[in-house]
Amino acid sequence: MNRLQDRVAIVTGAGEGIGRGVARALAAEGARVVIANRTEKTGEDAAAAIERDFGERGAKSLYVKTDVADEDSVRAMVDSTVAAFGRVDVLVNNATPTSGMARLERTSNEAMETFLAVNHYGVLWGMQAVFPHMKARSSGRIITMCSLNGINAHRYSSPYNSSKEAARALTRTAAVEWGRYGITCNILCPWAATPAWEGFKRWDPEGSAEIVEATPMRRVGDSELDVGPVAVFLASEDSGYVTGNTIHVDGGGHINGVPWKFELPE
Amino acid sequence: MTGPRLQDKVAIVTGSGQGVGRGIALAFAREGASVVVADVREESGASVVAEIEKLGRPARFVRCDVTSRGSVDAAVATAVEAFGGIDVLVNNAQRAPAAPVPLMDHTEEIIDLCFDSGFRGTFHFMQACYPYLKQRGGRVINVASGAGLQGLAGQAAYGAAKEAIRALSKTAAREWGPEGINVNVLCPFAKSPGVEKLLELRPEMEKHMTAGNPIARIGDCETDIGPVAVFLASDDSRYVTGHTLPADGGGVMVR
Repeated sequence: MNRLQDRVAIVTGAGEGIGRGVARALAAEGARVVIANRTEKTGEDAAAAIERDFGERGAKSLYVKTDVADEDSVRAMVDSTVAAFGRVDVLVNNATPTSGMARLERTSNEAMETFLAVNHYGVLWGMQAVFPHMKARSSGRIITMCSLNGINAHRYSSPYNSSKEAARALTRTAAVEWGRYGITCNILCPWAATPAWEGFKRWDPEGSAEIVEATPMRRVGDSELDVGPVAVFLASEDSGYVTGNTIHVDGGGHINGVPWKFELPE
Repeated sequence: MTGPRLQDKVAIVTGSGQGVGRGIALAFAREGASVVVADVREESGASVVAEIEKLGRPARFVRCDVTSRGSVDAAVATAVEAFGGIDVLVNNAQRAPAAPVPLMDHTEEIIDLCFDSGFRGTFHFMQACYPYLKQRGGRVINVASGAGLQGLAGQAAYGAAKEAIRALSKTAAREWGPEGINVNVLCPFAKSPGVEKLLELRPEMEKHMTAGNPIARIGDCETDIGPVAVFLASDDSRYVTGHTLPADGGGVMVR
């Protein structure tokens, strides 16, 4: 089946991890996918891999060098998409900084600004830039990647948590304001074996094993095969009456929350 | 991906003689599922079976009173005998007063009406289907409601029964996750006969129902709710469990 035949999707931060998996899942359903990524090497590779793996189903992919923390770059990302493919149907706000943990009292303004620039302003600019194109067609899908870290307030990651919750608030507000134009806006909170998770596993092998054990499905998800199909659902016609929702794709980890218990010294 | 997404899956949908249950049953059939229509209403149940057969998919009506464990066991046995197993269970059957009743006017009868059909019916079917779901990495979709999520006035027993179903679903997701059974909750808002009847009794409510709704219309059982149930029944949601998914035009945003 080609549930996204002729659709054009932008996925930010699609060079690796969840963004890459989601971009591949959208392409596998026939979408033309713009890989908006700051790092050229991974971005170009992700786009080339999509054409190689799904080209015979009609998938096309274009790499557009994008810095989501820069308003002009975000607007250029959408302009390039429309120039290349004539339309934009789906925006996946996935790019995010990742960085080390810090206690709240030691969290710097710089760290906070780095996260807000991408997760708050980057998401806002992306949504503003696609809005006229989606409104003109009376149809659009916005999917913002957020996190249980924010919803459950996991310790020592306040810039990540608060910027992700800001992105969630923006997306839900957009759902309320833009539902009348046929634009649905939903949030996806994934848990998958990303480079960030692999880093956490190395940093805290015991804690990460405990998190897996406490997850009802007892395994870490796959970006393309577990998270990807849920993004396809949210990008497709099937979810036309679903908006403003936060969908957890985490093997049930959200039910009671994950044991995020490690300590940082005072 | 190729082919229908529920090809040769066997689904039981309770209360599928009409409304949301019927919409889900038809959407499942369009995606290749064999459907067991479990309902107390024989005439409407049989007519939904005829509709599914017209789509070229097998279907079977079982007369079932979900409030009785014996009746549920018999329905499950019929389903297994007819189709060889169970992949998807949708607990949709629910009774409630036709119009809102203030909390202080709630009677034992109203509480029993809501809990026996909704909560106990869901509980009975989950227990009865468990051995079969376990064999095939099954799916449970339990229908709850914005009435419970939001604590709507006049819906005390109905909302409470629906929230009890949500609690049951999360416990089942935790207990059965390691066995490969996903359990999720769907909160639909659609023009079911229940909503239509309510609008007949209280036409002024339509404005309230859509005014604050981002998509600003009442959903359609088959075309708006059906595809969301298909998602929860399909492989696409294989890493989603314990989740509450409203399909309500954005009426309720959970958390």
